[in-house]
Amino acid sequence: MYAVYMSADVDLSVIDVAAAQQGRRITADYIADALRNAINSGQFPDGAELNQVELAARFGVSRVPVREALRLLQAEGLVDSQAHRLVQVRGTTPSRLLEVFSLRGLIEGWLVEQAVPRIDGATIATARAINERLRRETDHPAWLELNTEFHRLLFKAAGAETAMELLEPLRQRSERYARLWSQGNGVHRPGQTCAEHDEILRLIEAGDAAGARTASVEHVRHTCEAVLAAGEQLAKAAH
Amino acid sequence: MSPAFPGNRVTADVVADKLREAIQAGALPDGAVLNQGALAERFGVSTQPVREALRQLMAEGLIETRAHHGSVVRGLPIERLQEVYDNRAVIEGHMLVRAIPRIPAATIAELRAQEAAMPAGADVSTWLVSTRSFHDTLLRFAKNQTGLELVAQLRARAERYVRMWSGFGDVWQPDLAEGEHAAILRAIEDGDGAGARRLLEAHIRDTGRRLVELGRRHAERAPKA
Repeated sequence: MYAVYMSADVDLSVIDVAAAQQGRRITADYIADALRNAINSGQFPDGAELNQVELAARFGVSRVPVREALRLLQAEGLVDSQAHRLVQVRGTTPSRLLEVFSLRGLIEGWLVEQAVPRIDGATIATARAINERLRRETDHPAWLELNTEFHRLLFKAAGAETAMELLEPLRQRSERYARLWSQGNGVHRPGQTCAEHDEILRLIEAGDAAGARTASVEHVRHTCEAVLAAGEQLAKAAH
Repeated sequence: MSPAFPGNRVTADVVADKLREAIQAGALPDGAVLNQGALAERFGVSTQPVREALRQLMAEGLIETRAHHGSVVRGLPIERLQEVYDNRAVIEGHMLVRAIPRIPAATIAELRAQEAAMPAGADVSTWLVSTRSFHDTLLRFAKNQTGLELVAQLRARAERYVRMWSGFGDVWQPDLAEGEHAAILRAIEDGDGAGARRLLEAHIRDTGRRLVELGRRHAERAPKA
């Protein structure tokens, strides 16, 4: 873990309580959503302590739903729970991050390969339209969301729920570092990304399942390299 | 489910472990309702740790919530079952390639001895333990903790069906699995990474196919209870 990210100060005001309270009573699900968003968007650093009492006060609830929410995040691999219920945002070493990205590439490649014989022309057209919007989008958070939408659309065509379930936490864990290490902005390489998307779509349309799979794996590998490079640079700058 | 708690473990963890075991052993069938109050009574604890344990199992994909029923054991449709094995094949194949350069000859010999020591006609539990050990021993050399976690998760979703359907004959086809394991070990020994990967992937996918086949037979023979 790069020492520079080990800040112990956690500003709980980054949690969007209003979003958590949306609708009816606050349940563990809403609390888990709000905390997950704060962790995945890189607002909590690695090792940040999530104190049950403070969280309960922040959400205006008892500790019961807070504990349930933390348990859920623990099962998702986002936090670690030590003895005496000290809960901390789980840190990821660069080598662990490499694992996460390589497994992500593996599953994404497989999903795209499975999608090729099943996808229809309308879905490809929609994906192409999203990619055109990606080319023009300048707001980074919006860009990231569109990018996720592009990939989900292709993955969904595979009709493989289990793989999607496995993939989701891997994507979230890697996106978190894309944001953290680029200091909130996300590692941005829009031109190259859109060109790679074009190539993946071309291969899918040509019915080249193996080619589309390889291109997808490479696509994730390029993102991984960019994220790790950003992390290294940040670590260097801190010394 | 035993209500005995080792003192230093967090109660919710113990409850989650016991429930997970019962689900994986097939003791709780698909769709079994997990009533919080009843579970709390069974374990002799308050409902709070039970609720936490249920959250944990939900995140692991073992249970789901259903309107008016609360938490129920999540059933895996038979077509999803093949997907679980296909995913395992992809992940384990990827890991094996990275593991091979680090697998010592002694480990290969140990695995061979372990396979040879397997008594003919061993029951399904013995087989599951043995085959799990075979795969994990090899995969551990990939030094990929995240990958091991994914494989464990996938295994947890499917193993219960192996146990539940094992009453319907030639479940695991041990001889077949043994031959496949032996072929994988030979390829590793020969330093044939690509070959070992292909064999492992085929072995896992075929295991899935055999299990799906068994499930279909089970569905035909056992009318809905």
